Amino acid sequence: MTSEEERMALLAGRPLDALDEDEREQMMSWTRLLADEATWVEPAPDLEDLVAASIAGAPKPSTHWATTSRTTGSWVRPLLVGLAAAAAIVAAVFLISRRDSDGPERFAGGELAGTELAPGATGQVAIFEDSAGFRVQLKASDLPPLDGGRFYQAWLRGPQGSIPIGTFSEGNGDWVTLWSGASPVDYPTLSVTIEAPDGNQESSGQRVLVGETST
Amino acid sequence: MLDPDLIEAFRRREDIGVRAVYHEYGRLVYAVSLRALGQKHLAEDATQQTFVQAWQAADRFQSDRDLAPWLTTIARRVAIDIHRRESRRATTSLEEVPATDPAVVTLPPGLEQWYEAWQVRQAIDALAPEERDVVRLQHLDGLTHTEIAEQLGIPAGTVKSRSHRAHQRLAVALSALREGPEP
Repeated sequence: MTSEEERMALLAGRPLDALDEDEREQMMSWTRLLADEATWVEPAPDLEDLVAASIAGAPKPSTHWATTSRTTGSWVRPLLVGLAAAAAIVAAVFLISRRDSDGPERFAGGELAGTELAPGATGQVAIFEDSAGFRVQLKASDLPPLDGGRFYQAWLRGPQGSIPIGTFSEGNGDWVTLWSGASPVDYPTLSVTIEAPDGNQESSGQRVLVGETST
Repeated sequence: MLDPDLIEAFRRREDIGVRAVYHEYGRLVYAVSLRALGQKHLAEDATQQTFVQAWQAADRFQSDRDLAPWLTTIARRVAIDIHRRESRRATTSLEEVPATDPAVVTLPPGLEQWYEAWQVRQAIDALAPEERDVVRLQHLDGLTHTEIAEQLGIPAGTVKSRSHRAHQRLAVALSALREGPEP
């Protein structure tokens, strides 16, 4: 039998004492995932057919309305025309009012929930796309006050990793503005951590808020 | 990696393209959904919904980009939605629910390692079958090179070289993961 440490060294490709603490922690995490039955599980063979059946039963976005109009009665067409005209008027009014207020359209948004470090905290996020990138408006409420120069740092996370999007000092319900050069489509998870003024650019891992954004 | 022609077929929502995407990523979506949701029938539901949503949005996928990150974003949101749906179903009356009840938790507990589990499974799926067998026996069953050689009926030297090659590939694939604690 091989020990966990031997398997970690196999994955690292070198002796464990040659790894720093972070590398060792990462190797342990991967090794434990590799030793977990759930990582290796295979779906039932008929799942492919179930997926195909689900797709066959789902509405196809581009042809759905055309199919519907062919099968409806003669009274429906004038109703649809009327509804379409009303929708066009509402859309025009909306667009004009938006132009008047000079406000960009919201690109993505979501709600954040407090973690064990700040169970009562909540957050709202609204993300707008403009020529400089993505403006992230964050409203964090009921975050604990910080001392010793510590501050809050917001991050976007996705399959490719994490990117810092800005810092702030209080989470008392005021909106703060942060910036991201990467799209929230690629980095959909927003989190907030507590950081110390120690010059370390990596996350402390002390998450106080986390949530998903969606477009 | 999928053939570009199959990616285009997927974007046109053709059956051959959708099935090719399932063959490439179906096991991955299922495995990570099962880790997040903890029950097979929910993981199967999540896999179906993920592919339905991917199929519906296929024409918006940019074919010059990698399909895996796009798909994991969809799969993760589906898993969260299913977890919330199941949490609501388990609740009888809001007044009776204690603050610590899983029903009030908004994210599934298995979601914490979503991206890491996704990358590890993707790295495993990218290995050649004979390399994957060796890695599985080493890590999941904890066997030594000699024990694996006996089980597979091949020389120990072959096991050693396959293991070395497989771990090199795994290390390269996994190095894409960010080091340090998760923000």
